[in-house]
Amino acid sequence: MADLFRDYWWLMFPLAWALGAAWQGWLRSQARRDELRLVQTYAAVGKEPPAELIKALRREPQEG
Amino acid sequence: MEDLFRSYWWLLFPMAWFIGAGWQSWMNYRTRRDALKLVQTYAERGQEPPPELMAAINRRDDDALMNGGFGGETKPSTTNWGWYQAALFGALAGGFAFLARSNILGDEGLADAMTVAAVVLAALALASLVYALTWKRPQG
Repeated sequence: MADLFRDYWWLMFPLAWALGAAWQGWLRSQARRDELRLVQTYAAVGKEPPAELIKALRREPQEG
Repeated sequence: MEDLFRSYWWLLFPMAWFIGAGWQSWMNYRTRRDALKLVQTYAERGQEPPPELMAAINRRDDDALMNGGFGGETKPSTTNWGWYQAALFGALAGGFAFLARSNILGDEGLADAMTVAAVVLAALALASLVYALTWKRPQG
């Protein structure tokens, strides 16, 4: 096991990157879902959502 | 196990960075979620949320993962860093090439490694040069 680690320790970096990217993607999807729920609340009370909220929704997904 | 730790103790630093960045992303997400919940409370009461609160929703946090890390987009720079990078990588490539050719370090194997480093840095310098020449100031 230790030998295997010595040969492939560098794999930790791409693996950590992949895990980080998945974590980031999940957080972004959660954030987008929260924003949409808020817009839904505004729609339910028959009010126009604030411009800042629409601006947040219009951002490209990778902008964070 | 102790031998393994002695050999790879330095891996703790990059791993700690990854864990710290992930934790920071989580905290920033929670802050943003709480701000949205607060806006929702205002919306449910039929009141206008304060502009500061709405500005907080669009704020870009100092977040290594969310902004730029792991394939994300960074805010475009208003400075053309291509020239700086071309000069830096070019000088480093020249230095490594000189070390490889002059054989100052006296080891043939090391000279080969220096040549590889020089080639990689020269490629980076060339890429930076192309970036500098094609760079356009971001709008707005």
